[in-house]
Amino acid sequence: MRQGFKHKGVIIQKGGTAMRMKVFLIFTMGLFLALSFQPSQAANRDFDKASTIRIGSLGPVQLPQGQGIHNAAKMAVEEINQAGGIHGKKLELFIGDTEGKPEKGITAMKKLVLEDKVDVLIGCYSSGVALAIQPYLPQYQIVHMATGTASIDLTNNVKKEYEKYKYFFRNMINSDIRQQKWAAKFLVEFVHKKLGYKKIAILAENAKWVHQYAPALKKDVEDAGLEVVFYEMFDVDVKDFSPTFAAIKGKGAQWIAQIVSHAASIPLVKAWQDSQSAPMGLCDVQGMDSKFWEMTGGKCLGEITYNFIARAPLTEKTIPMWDKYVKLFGTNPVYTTGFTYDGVYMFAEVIKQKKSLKSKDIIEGLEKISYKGVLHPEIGFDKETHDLLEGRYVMPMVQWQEGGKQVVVWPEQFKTGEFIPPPWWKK
Amino acid sequence: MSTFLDILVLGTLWGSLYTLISVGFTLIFGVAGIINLAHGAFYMLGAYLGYTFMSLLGIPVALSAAMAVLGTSLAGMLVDRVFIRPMRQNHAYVLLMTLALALLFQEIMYVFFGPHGKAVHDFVKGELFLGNVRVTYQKLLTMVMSWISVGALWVFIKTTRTGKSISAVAQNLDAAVLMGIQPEKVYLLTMGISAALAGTAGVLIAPILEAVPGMWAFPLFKAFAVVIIGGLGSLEGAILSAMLLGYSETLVSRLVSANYPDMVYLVAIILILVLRPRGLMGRRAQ
Repeated sequence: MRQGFKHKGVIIQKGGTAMRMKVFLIFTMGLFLALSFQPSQAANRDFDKASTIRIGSLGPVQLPQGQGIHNAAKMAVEEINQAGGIHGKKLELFIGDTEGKPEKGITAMKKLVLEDKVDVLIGCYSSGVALAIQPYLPQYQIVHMATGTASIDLTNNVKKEYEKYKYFFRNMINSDIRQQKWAAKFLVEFVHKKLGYKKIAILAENAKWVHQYAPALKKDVEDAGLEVVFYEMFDVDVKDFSPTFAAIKGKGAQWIAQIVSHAASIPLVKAWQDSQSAPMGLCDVQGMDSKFWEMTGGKCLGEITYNFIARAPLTEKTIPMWDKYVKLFGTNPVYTTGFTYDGVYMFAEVIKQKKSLKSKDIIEGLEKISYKGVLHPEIGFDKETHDLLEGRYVMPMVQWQEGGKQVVVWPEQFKTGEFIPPPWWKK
Repeated sequence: MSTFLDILVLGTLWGSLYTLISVGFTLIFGVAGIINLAHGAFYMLGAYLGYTFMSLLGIPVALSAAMAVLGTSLAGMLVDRVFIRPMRQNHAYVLLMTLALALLFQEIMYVFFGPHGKAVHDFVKGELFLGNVRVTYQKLLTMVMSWISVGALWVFIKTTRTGKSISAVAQNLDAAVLMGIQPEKVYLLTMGISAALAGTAGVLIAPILEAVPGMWAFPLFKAFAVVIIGGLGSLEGAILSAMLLGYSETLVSRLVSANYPDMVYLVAIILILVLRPRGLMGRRAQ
């Protein structure tokens, strides 16, 4: 043991195991703190000194929803650059692959913010991922415009703790209230009043975004005089739906309102078609994909799903954007595409107006914006929640018809064809 | 009446598939004494090979199915020869190795095919009606082919010289060796047959569900349940418990909820282990 020395009556050991352990611990803690400290200067750059403007696009690269985000961002960025950029500064796009998982989402976001030093974030499919990322936004003081997340918890957080969560905006239609209200409107106005059906089955996946949606939908349609003869929230891992559709048929349902995003849509649709139970139409996120016809071998014939974009004149920009997207990427836009495309343009407009990359200026600009996009002529955000303003959206109901065509059957002003019941359906 | 017919038809379908999956699983255990956690991966491989040949390459259905099954069988034999044979006597090693292989297979499918499910078209179109209940020819074909496969295995084991050698090794390894049977060849063949059966199930299920990278776990759990309930190493027990499982899961799914069928086999496993650990038709330990 090494000799120590006496200081004020206390023996201090110089060197020795205990001392080395203390030094090691202090060093490790210091290193940990140094690594933990994440400077927030990645965003909020000086606009005049920036040579480019950097957009970070978040989304699962392997999934159509994520590809829709990245492709839309790419298209918008290229268009803005071709038009001269923002005050002569070009936009740069950086991709972060969230894989649709919260922990990967955090990693992707950190990579964009800390390594790529993006100025703003856009995208992000899945509310679970967005909720995981949201607490980091005030830490990095960076604005995130979510374009593929439906849970109302995200915008409730902004309302509850504005100063902390003001960096979050949602350019999408929340599921808990808005999608649910639209769904109820469709079932009442179209399914009940127009087609004359009364007995409804609600078949919903048990996922976060549906937890408030499905029960509220049931209540709304029952209040409007429909009879919900079957109601189930199934686990997202369920693969065999044959007994479920057999049960629905046994209950005499005249319409099936499916609410599916994360669950296995292909087996569900196959089982539905094989069961010949009742027409099905409400929300099937995978069913929005233009490849869904091929993926199901045509078994989605007759299925209806709402989409947030369609080849219909939602605004005068919609169809030209749709056609250009198809030409560039060889596939139809998915629901995240329109929101992201408009979102990039909204960021560009705000940055251009403010001539600033400071988050507080971007937030102020987005809170006041009224933008004519591809999805709606007056897109704007609620100041309290930063959610899309009420009424500033359309959700066309799209039916798969013979030959793999996607036809808008409702609402009337955006129809591109008539509803055709499945060939086996006898009213 | 239609509820009863629904349960009868769907229960028979799933019971047949579980039989096909679990017979191979119990066969390799009964003969080689190993628990092959890659068994579900062979089922997945069969589905993806079927998708590749039929949907991507446009090869006729029957030929595609045959090639998919053969490919899976060869994969099984490769796994046995390269990964299992060197340490066959070490059960822990075999468990871990086969689990690792299952996970590796999953990742390979993910890389080549992506995370989305891949759909395979029905092999045959058309339907018949049992009362109000519509039964597609695809489902009928699945049931028929499952039983033909199991039946063919039965005939092979009972009537052919090679089949009898498999039986002999399963019954008494030392005696089989004394009779001139080479156990390593028997193990290799058995693994090939086991994988082929799992691959057949995968090929048949793909048009009804989909091919997706995580699909290997589901048949493995079912196979475990079936062999525990039926009795480890008992083919008759596997068939009986597979059918019981198919019907009971369908009953629960049809009458209660699609969320609860998995509870059926979990409860059944616990009950069997407590009340009759050797299984319904397993032999009592000497």
